[in-house]
Amino acid sequence: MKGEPRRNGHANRHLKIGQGLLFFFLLLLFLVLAGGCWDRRELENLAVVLGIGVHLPAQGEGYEVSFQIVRAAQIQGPTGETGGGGGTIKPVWILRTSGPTVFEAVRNATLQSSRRLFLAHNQAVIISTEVAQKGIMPALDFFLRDHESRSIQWLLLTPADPVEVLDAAAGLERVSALAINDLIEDYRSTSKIRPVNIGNYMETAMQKTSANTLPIIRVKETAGKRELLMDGTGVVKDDRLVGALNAKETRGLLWVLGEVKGGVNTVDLPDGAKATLEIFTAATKVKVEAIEEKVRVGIEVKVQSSLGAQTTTDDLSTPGQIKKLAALQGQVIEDEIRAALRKAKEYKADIFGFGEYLFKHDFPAWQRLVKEWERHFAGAEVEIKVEVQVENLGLVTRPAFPKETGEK
Amino acid sequence: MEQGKISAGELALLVMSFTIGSWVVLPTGIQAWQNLWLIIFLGLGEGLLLIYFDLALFRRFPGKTLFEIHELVYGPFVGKLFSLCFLWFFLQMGGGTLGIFVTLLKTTVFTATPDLALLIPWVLILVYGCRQGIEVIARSNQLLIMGTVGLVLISILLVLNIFNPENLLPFFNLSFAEMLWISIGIAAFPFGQNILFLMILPRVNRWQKVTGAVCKGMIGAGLVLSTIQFLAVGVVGKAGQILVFPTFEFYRLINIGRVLTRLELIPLLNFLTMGFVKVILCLYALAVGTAHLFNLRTYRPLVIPLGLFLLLVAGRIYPDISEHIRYIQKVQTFLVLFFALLLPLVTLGVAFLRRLPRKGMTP
Repeated sequence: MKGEPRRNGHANRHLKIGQGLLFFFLLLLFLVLAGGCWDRRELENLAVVLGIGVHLPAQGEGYEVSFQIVRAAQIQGPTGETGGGGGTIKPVWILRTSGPTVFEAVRNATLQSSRRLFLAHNQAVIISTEVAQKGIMPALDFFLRDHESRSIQWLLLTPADPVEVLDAAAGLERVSALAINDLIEDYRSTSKIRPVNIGNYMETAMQKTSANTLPIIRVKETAGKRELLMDGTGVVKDDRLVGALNAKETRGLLWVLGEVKGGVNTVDLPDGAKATLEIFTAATKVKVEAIEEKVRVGIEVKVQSSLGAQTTTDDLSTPGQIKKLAALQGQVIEDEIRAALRKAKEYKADIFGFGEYLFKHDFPAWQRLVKEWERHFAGAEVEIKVEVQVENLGLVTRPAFPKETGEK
Repeated sequence: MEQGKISAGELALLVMSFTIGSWVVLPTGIQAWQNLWLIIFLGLGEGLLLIYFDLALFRRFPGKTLFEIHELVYGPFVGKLFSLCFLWFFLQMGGGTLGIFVTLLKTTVFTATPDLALLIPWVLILVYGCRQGIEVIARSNQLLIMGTVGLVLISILLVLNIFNPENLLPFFNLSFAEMLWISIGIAAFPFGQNILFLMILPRVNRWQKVTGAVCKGMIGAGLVLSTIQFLAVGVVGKAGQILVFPTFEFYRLINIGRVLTRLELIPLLNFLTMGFVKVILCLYALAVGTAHLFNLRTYRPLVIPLGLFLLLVAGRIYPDISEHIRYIQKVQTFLVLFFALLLPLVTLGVAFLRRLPRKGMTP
């Protein structure tokens, strides 16, 4: 405006008034637009979903989807089930719908629920093994595509109907989906399950040679109550469930992936006695080489641990004994890795991402081997090196026995 | 005509915002994925070369807009025809950019909102800003680009816990031909679209500094885009290849202790401001160009109708997102190269043959 040639004052004032009016009406317009979103949803009109289970119907096609919806009013109670004035009403509501696709099943929920389902806070998607055997991506596509659902939702596998998991007692939590979330986050204290979220699953699924894994959750009856239990890992190859790893094999998998964050190893001592060592820090280095047609894998694990419990009366605190313990733990770790390798080779499923390592670090070799990767993976030569350092004894040196018994 | 003047520094920042513009939302060459952040630099080099050619026109006719140059070189009638082609180009560029951002908003946040409810407020601000002239646009842009650069720097910290450098490997798994082709696509979009600045350069107070400023702006934009793509690859990994809006998705994944999550709206708003600068410059070039075409004294009365026109184009230019993606992959490179390489070269050639500019021609 600065450089405009000056008009005479009279016309200028008219212009000013006109502009002011225009500006005023503009402001009014923005008021209308800013006052409310077009598609607004208030909290009291939402059904906040915390857990979703996907299952196949007993007969016919499509999917059966169960939801765990939180009753916000029941959550607020300070203690146990009598809190909040809600009396005996459970804090969650389980809903089950069906439809030809997961998306339609989700929408069909509106036929039963008075409020529209809100998925942005969903914690976990639980898939039954039947769905997993048929193909996971078709069931998962909706969760990736939908703008409300997020890719950090946990993905789990359950052998039975997922609705049982959603309906199980939640232990100390009020809502079992939140309990599932905590169970998974606590994997670092055992390192016997491998957490996978939808984003991780998609990422691995995009890799040509890799196979996916999913944690398995099941329901266990304890003192008359149905409680949750994390139990091993399912192996998914080409989007279909092909087998499972037990806790030991899962630990082996985690060692190779470098995802062990904690947990314990129990070693056998002479005379049937045992000692349990706690893993404090663990670091893994994997190197994959392809020489001609032969794949060679070198796995190097470095662990720092501490003595956590022993069942013998021997004094294990001497330097010699500690070294022996370290060697024994190294053996246990190697066994775990070997067990996982054996299972993976049996399924011909590259759950460790050896092929992906080649893709990233030796692209020409990957190009050469990718066509028959299954065969190359099964024939891979694996060299394992474990280095354990037992650093601590805890608060006591030796068990509380008179010295004579301890020393032999 | 407009008398406002901007400095070379302001021009550089305008170029930067304009280049970041819509590429940051809907990138080209996504098939290269983990190599893209490197290919951007190759594309930047080619883009700099391209724009250097285009600026040769301006250096030959300093102080003239592209449309004035057309008339000087081809005479009034043919020159206006050339200018009309460029008007169409600016219109589809502005409309397309506006369209992208409406699509982004519609797919990610405001799923049920009608297009017009998103477009109308936007166009109102565009028109208002454009009527204020280039000085105001340039100054408001200074603030907006600072926000974007700041955001990119902050996001480096935010993604530290989810950034996996392994995702960046292997660095080169494409054949040279593929890489070259993708880099040309990047040289065209976003860098080649800077041909639009030939309409704005005469507004710079010292024309000798123009070439350096434009190059600086493009290099700055290249760095920002490469950083964003670098972070996106490290965070999203291979899965990013199937995402419609990879940059948006990577901000969705930010998760610091399950507390600092769902930050995607902040970059979304920020990218919107870059798109805003791009569209407002398109609108400005359209208005100034049209005014020149019809020998008007001022471009201001044209802004409102052209803004409305832009709104209509934005709503209709791409019937769906898949058309848009295909346009970016298959058509855009040729289209931009036609306008940013071929036509300026022809003009330059004709000017050379006619020994223009002659002495005494410049008023």
